[in-house]
Parts: sequence; C-alpha cells; structure tokens
Amino acid sequence: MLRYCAIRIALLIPILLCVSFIIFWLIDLAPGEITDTMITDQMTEEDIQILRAKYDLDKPLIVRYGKYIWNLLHGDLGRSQVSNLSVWEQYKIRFPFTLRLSIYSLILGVALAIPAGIFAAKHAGTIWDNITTAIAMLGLSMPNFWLGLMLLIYFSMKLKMFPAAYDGTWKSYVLPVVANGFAMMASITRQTRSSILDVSRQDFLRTARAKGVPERRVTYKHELGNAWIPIITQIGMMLGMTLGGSAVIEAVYSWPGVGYLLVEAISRRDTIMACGCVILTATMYTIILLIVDLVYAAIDPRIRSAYARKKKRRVEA
Amino acid sequence: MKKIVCMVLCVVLCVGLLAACSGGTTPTSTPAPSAKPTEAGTTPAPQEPQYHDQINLYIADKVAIIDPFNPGAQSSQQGIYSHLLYDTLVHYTVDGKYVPCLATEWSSDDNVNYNFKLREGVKYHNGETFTADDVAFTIDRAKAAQGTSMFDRLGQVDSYEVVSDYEINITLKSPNVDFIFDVSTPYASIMNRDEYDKNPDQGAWVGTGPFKMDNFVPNDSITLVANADYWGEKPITKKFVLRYIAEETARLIMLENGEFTFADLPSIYVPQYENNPNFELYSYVMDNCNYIAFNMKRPITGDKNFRMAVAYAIDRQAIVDIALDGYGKVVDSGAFWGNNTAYKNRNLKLIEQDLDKAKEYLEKSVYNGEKIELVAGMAHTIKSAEVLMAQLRAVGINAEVRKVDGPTMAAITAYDSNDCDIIVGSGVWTPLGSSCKSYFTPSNSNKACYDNPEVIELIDKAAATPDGEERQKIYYQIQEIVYDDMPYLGTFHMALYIGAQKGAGGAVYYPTNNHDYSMAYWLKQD
Repeated sequence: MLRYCAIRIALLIPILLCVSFIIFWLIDLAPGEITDTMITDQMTEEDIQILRAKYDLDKPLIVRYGKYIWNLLHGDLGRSQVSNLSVWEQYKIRFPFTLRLSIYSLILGVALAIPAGIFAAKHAGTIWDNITTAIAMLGLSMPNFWLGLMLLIYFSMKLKMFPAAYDGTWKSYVLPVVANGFAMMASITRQTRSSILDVSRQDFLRTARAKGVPERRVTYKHELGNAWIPIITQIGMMLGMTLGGSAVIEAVYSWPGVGYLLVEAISRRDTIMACGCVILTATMYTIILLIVDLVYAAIDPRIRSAYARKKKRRVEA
Repeated sequence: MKKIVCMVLCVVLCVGLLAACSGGTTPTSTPAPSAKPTEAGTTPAPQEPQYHDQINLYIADKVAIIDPFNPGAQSSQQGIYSHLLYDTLVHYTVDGKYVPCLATEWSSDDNVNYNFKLREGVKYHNGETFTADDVAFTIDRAKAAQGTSMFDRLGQVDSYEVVSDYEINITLKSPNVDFIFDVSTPYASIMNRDEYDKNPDQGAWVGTGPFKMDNFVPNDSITLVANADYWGEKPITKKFVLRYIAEETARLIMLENGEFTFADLPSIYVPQYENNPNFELYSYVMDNCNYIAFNMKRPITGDKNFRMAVAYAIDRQAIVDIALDGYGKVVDSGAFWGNNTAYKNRNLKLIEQDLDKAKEYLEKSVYNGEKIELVAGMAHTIKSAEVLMAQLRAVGINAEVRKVDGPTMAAITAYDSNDCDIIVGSGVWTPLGSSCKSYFTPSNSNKACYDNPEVIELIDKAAATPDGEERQKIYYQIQEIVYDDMPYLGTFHMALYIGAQKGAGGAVYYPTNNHDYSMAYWLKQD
C-alpha cells in the first residue's frame, strides 16, 4: 500500500511538469502580453524594453519556463506579476474559503443525494422515481450562475435573509453553499440511483433476503455497501473540482476563493500566478484521487485482498 | 399516471422558463431619460447634520496592490483611493482651478523650470514630517516606474534641486505648459521616503491624505479611517470601506439593502432610481469620447471615400439608445475631442446619417464586399459595435464584430502592429487640449495609426505655447486638419450614474472619473 502511494505521489511530478508547461505555453500563445496594457503614450521604445525586461519578456519561453521550474524545485512558486505578492501567500489566504465552501457544499450534497438516490432506486419506475430523477436533471441542467442569481434575488433582495456578498458571517455561506451543493446533489443522486439499481440485481441480495435479513439491513449494508465505489469516485471528483475553485459561484457571491484568482490571473496574462494556482490545484486533485483509491480499499474487501495478493507475490518473488 | 407525470414536468419546466425570462420590474425597453445627466459638480452639504460613521463605497475595479510605482498594480480606481490616502502638490478643482495643496506657491518663467514652495507642518500617517525630500523621492521612483501612471506624470522631469526642506526646483525635459495639471492629478501623489525604506511592500499605505489605511484585502476591499491630524479640512465620515463586487446583481442588491452607500449604476437600472424617495441619484458626463477608428494603413479603411460612407451610414443617437439605454450624450461637434476638453472646435459640422450619400461614397470607394472587422473590447463598446454593424450592413458593408479582451486589444491594435480594420473604442480625454496627442501622434492609443507630420508639429508647438488665444488657434487648426483626414469619428460621451442612500452626498465627481470622496457624508434620516 505504501509503495502504491509513493508511486502515485511520484507520478505527480511529470503531471505537474506537463501542466505547468502547458499553462506557460498557452498564455504565451494567447495574443497580448502582461505589459501590453501597461504601455502608455509617454513611454519611449527604451522604456518599453525596460518594462518588458522587468517581466522577463525579453527572454524566450523556454528560458522563462526553466527559471520558473528551477525556482519551483526550490519550493518557490514565485510572485504574481500583477501584484508582486507571493503566489503561495495569496493562495494560502484564499484557499480556506474555497475549502470551506467545497466541504459544506459536499456535505449538503451528499446528505441529500444518498437518501434521494436510494429512494429513487427503491421506487424505480414509479412516479417518485420520476420526480427524484426530474429534480436531479434540473440540478444538472440548470446553470450554476443562474441558480446563484435567483437565490440572490429572492433570499437577499426580496426576503433580505442573507447578504449578497461575503461579509465574514455564517449567513454569507448559505447561498453559495446551496447553489454549489445543489449541482453536486443532482450528480450524486443520479450516480447513487444507478449504482444501487446495478447492485440490486446481484444474487447475494436474493440470498440475503432468503436468509431472512431485514430489508433495511439489506439496503444499507449489502446494497449500499457494494454500490459505494462509483459513488465515492463521483464524490471525490466533485470535491477535486470544487477545491480548484468555482469561478462562477465565487464571482456571483464575491467569494474570496481561488477559482476567481485563477480566472483573473489568466485574463491579466499573469503567467506565474496562473501557473501557481494550477499546480496547487492539480496537486490537490491528485491527492484527493489517491485518497479515494485508498478509501476503496478500506471499504471494499475485494480491493483490499487484491493489494494483499500483490504484496504476497512480491514477497515470494 | 404517466400522463400526470408528464403534465407535472411540463408545468415545472414552463414555470422555470417564465421565471428565467421575466425581468421583474426591470425595464427592458429603452427608457426616456427624464433625468438628463448634468455636468460634473459637487453636491451641497446639509445644514444640521447627524451623520453615519461609516460609508461603504463600491469601486468598479479590483485593487490587487496599493503601490503607484508598480506597473502591475494599476487600477482604474487608483484615482479614487488616492484622493483619500494622499495629497498632491497642487489641487485641481472640478471647475478647472488650481489651488494650493502640498505646494503653497508655484511659478515658472519658461514652462521648463518650475519652482514649488511647500507647505510646512504636514504630517504623514506614520508621524513623519512632509518635506521636499519626499517630493524628490517620489520623482526618482516615478521616473524608474515605466508602465505606471506616476511615470506618465513625472517621467518628464529631467532633474530637480532641493533648495530647502520646503522648496524644490524642477526642470523638465521639454517645455510643458500643462505640467501643473500633471502634478495635480491623483496619479502624482506624494509618497513617503522613510515608509518605503522601512516597508517596501506597504510603503504606499502611508500618505498625508484625509484618511489612513486600516485594512487592505487584495482584490476585495480597502478600509480607511479618518486622519484626525489632517492638515486640511477634516473629513466628515469616520470610516470608509471601498469594496469591489464582480457581480452586477449583487452590487445592486447591496445598494438596495443599504450595504453600499454609493454604487455605480448600469444605465438600464437608472429609471428605478429616478425619483425614488429612498435614494439619491448623481450623474455626470465623462470627458472620454467613444469613437470609430479607421486603420489608415489598411487599403480599404485608408480610403477616404470608404470613411465618408461610414460617416454617412451611422446614426449616433441609435447607438446611444441601444448601447447605453439612452443615457449618453451624442458628440456635439465634428471634431474628435473630449466633452469638456479645452479648445474644442465646435464649428466643425457633425456629419448626420444619410444612407443615399453613404451608398454613393461606398460606390466610389475601393470597397468590394470584403469582410470588415469591428474590433471592440469593453461591454459598452461591444454593444456599440453591434449596433454599428447593423448600420453598416444596411448600406452594403459586410461588417462583423470581433470581441477581444484587454491584453488582446492592446496587442492587436498597437501602433506598430495594428492589423485591424475598424476599432470601436473609448478614448480617455482630460480637460487639457494636449490630450489629443495620444490620438494624433504615433502611440498605442492612436488606434487609427494616424500619422500627419503637420499635425504632430502643431501639437508640439501648442505644448510650448503659453498664450491662450494662440494655443486656441493651433488646436483649432489641428482639429480642422484631422476633421478633413477623418481617421476617427467621435460617437458619444458616456453618462455615468451613481446611486446613493438617501442623505448621502458630498462627493466631487470629476469627468475624468477620479472622483473625490474625501468630504462625502451620509446624513442620518429621522
């Protein structure tokens, strides 16, 4: 298991190298440089060259990238080309907001989605299944920003129950968490429903019922227990995505998270900040997927035994 | 059962669609603007005041860092917070007068050598005393800060001599009769050397202005508290929170809910606030001039007949009505010039829409059905370009809008590499005639790539001509030549609206957008 984790973490290095180079390359390909909006009519050609040199734009892409990677290997994510503030410091300030939003949204989404998914699967083909599926479809097809705006208009403007922008109070969490959690709920509900339906046709359930195991126990222990794997994958991917920041929700609710930081960095051609955000997000995403894999082993004895068999073969060899 | 389910789903979908499409009380048609924008000015102070302690002000752009010497930190809101945090050598009033600020007197015999006598007893927020050394420091840093607004104002300084703690002589690289204006803008605020030495990242958090820095959250908010030791008129409010909100709806809800004391209003929402007893509505017309720039280097747009065809094809009022919901001012002269910019030649006749003439000129031009791109980058210029596209298509020009972001616009329309046909843009104009230099001489603001040696020579001559009448003649002549060459067509000046809570006022709205909120107040209502 440890070896597996070490390999997965080691694989992160080529992934990060690729991701960082792609970001560097894409921003370089996009028309316009960070200095283009800074050049004013009072500047001479010499002034423009001095300005470009400040941002290393007088050097080729590969040199700039090499310098970035060298600093990265020394643990330095660099400084934003716009604000000159440390990328790590900026990310560190904003990440807790994104983390809280993601976790709360996920809790809300899972708390609603698992029972809803089981309920739909248990009533498959009935009107209750159709209603649950329709709500899930609504959540999937409704754009995030639209739901966000509707919640704002109703709960913030008309009812004046919650603030329209982040103000540091618990109330400012409610609307973004609901807007974010609703889409998660929809996705997880559908996954839960289809996983339970897949498992429900298995022979071992018939055996369990024949042995007289109570239906509640059949559902929650045997059915759900065997349906967890795809649901956990879905939850893990959702968490990974939201930890990268939800730029739309962050923009709608003026949420000081990392998603908007990345969008802003790209639109300003702030390569160092954009690259730093992507590297940190990719790292987290990979770690979350690794944790998901480990959770598989923890909850599924078949996977656990597969790890054990591999280990035994290595020992014998 | 299935039918019932289908019906329920249909009803749910219909309700969803109706909710999405309904605009509530928001007007979607072009309103008749009953409250026409006024020229910039001040709002009168109330007589028996009971004020709120805190004012929350919406700012229209993020502030990533407060440092006027950092080219990456330039924000369109720099002028607003600079008025609160800092002072300039000279103060420029909204009615165009220069009054003493950190400099009590100033003089120049030749517009190259300037002498400034400085105010004594002024303290920075950190307790340091303001001296000529701080002016020298500001000039030195500004000259090495290419890409900043500071550089634009003070980069023209060739040398200086600190005569005493309270006197400094400044020598420019070339004569500039408008140098006093340059040092009066908030972009030439005087910084503190000691604070920068001690704390380079936060050196600019300290100034001599009426408010002191309390808290700064990058890209979100700036919190300022009143400076009790301010040398000038003491501010009325005790605390100022300047906050950027990306989402327009959230911003308006915050104004509605009283979370913002002042907030900019998009034109479509102005009717809701006109004659609304719960709110104040302030407005002003910007000096900036929106324009259509023809790339003079391109064969089609370089053809005068084509440009004349466009001039006769456009209906400026329709552009204002659709792109700005009627809340803008169509240019009042054929000259491409700022709304209230000095020496505007109002004798040049504006070409009105005449579709027959447009087709005639198009027939005579080199145009042969090619696609003409209208490049635009800001929300209101994109809307203008879309209206313009329809108007040009009506006379047979195959126009298409190309939307780009800020850095792309700057890159593809740079003077040396401009490969666009027509740029639909918004040009910055100051109250000074010299601001025409940006558009009529080789520079990146010259989106038409207009290059007429006679005009360049006249602009240089005007910059060194102190006499008002003589300058007027030169600027009139410049406008006549440009009018004849027609590299630009001015379209409109934007009117901006600020919604405020009932009893809020005291702000000074400059047509350059560098508003001064230092004496803003919010009167408590009974």
